Order: sequence, then C-alpha cells, then structure tokens
Amino acid sequence: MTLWYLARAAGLIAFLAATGSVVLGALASTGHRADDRSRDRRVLRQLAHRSAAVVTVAMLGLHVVLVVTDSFVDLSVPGALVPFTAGYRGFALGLGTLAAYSLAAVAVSGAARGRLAASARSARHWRALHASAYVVWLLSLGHGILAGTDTGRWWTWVLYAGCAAAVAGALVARLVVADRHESTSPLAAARRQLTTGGVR
Amino acid sequence: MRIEVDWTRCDGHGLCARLLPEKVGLDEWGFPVIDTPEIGDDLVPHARRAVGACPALALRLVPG
Ligand code: SF4
Repeated sequence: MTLWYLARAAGLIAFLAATGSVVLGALASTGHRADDRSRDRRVLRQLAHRSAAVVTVAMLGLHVVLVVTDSFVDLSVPGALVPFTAGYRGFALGLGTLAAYSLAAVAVSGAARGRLAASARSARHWRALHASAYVVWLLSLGHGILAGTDTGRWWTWVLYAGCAAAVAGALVARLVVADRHESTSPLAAARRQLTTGGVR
Repeated sequence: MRIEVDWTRCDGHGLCARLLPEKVGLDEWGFPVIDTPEIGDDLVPHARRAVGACPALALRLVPG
C-alpha cells in the first residue's frame, strides 16, 4: 500500500513539475526589455525551466516504476508500454503512456537543443518539436483526471484548475510578446524577407 | 575555441552578455559586440552556457 501512495504522489509531483516547466518555458521567451535586470530574470526563468523539466522526467520515471511494481492495481509491463492495452482503466492509462513517450521526445530535444538546432531551418523544426510539450501537458492532464484515484476530491479540482490557468496564462503572454516582437522589430521583418521571400 | 554570432539569427536579446561578460559587450541596441572571439580554456564552460542560453540559437562555439 505504501508503494501505491508513493506512486500517486510521484505522479502528482511529475504533473506539477511539468506545469512549472511548461509555464517557465513559455515565459522564458517573454521579457524583451533591454536592461540587465530583465535579461538576468530571463536567464533565471530559463534555468528554472530546465531544472523543472529534469524533475518532471525523474518523477515520471519513479511514477511508472512504482505503478508497475505495486500490486494494488494490476498493471503489467507490456500494459504500461503499449498504449491502451492496460486492463485497468485502459484509456486513461493509454493517455499516460502516450504522454510519457512524447515527454521523452520533448526532453531529448531540449537536452540536445544546441546540436539539433544548428541551422536556421533546423531551428524551426526544433521549435515545433519542442512545442509538443504543450500536447504532453494536455495528455498528462487527461491522464491525471481520468486515471487518478484522487479525482473528485476538492483539492484535485483546485490543483488541475490552477495548473490549467497557469499554462493558459503563460501561453497567452508568450503569444502576445511574440506577436508584438514580430511586428515592431525591423530585424524580424528583414529576416522574414530574406528567409521566405516575404511570404509568411 | 572561438565564439561566433550568426547575424542572420541574432535578435539582440543580450542574454549572452550577461553570461559571458568577459567576452561579450552590448552595443546601444542590445546587440553583442565581441572584440576578441578566442575563448581560453577557463572560459569555455561559461561560453557553452551562453551558447545554450541564446534564445535565437545564434551563438556558436567553434574550434580554432
Ligand atoms: S543571446 Fe543570442 S540573440 Fe541575444 S544578443 Fe546574444 S547572440 Fe544575439
């Protein structure tokens, strides 16, 4: 039974850390003011984003190992590895399996950022790949709500709603900043001309 | 090692100057000014950090 408690706790912490990482990642590209303090804050957000991502991966690993080894729910290794084949809450666990795989892709892309995004072209692909972190987060939210045995208690709703508001807010802030930057920076305009011949 | 800026990508975010102040200054618009691009061994870890922090992926550390 202890393992089961730990498994749930690890899952929840992984979700919280994922939320933190997504929020900080989105906010890392905001704050374009040209003074040293906002530059330093940006560097710090970036660092915190990467640290939260490491915690997410570690906690997810723990969560998976504990859920499989624990005997309270009967989950086999193949059931955990192949999406939607788990006997217990198959759909909900499938979401979790998919989230874990896509998180692995996002985490690897993040760790290999310098190598994968060496040219301007590959940088665009890198951004698209890394932005699938938002999908990972949605999958894990679905997984948490549908598979979590705590779902329904008041504090889980507070937690999920708070996390969803944080991610939505950070995403909006990021899009607003990117839009403003694209439309006001002469450099961005010039580059658009150069790289796409003026077509967006 | 040498540090290079890809000017087609640099957006003048200026983060590199905060992480590698020994080598990178900023002009009045926030774009990096690098007088001597050669990076000594003692500065390589800092240079890598600056390369990893550049939001536009415009910084590079190249051998030589
Ligand atoms: S961090 Fe990158 S984008 Fe910002 S000024 Fe330095 S090289 Fe340019």
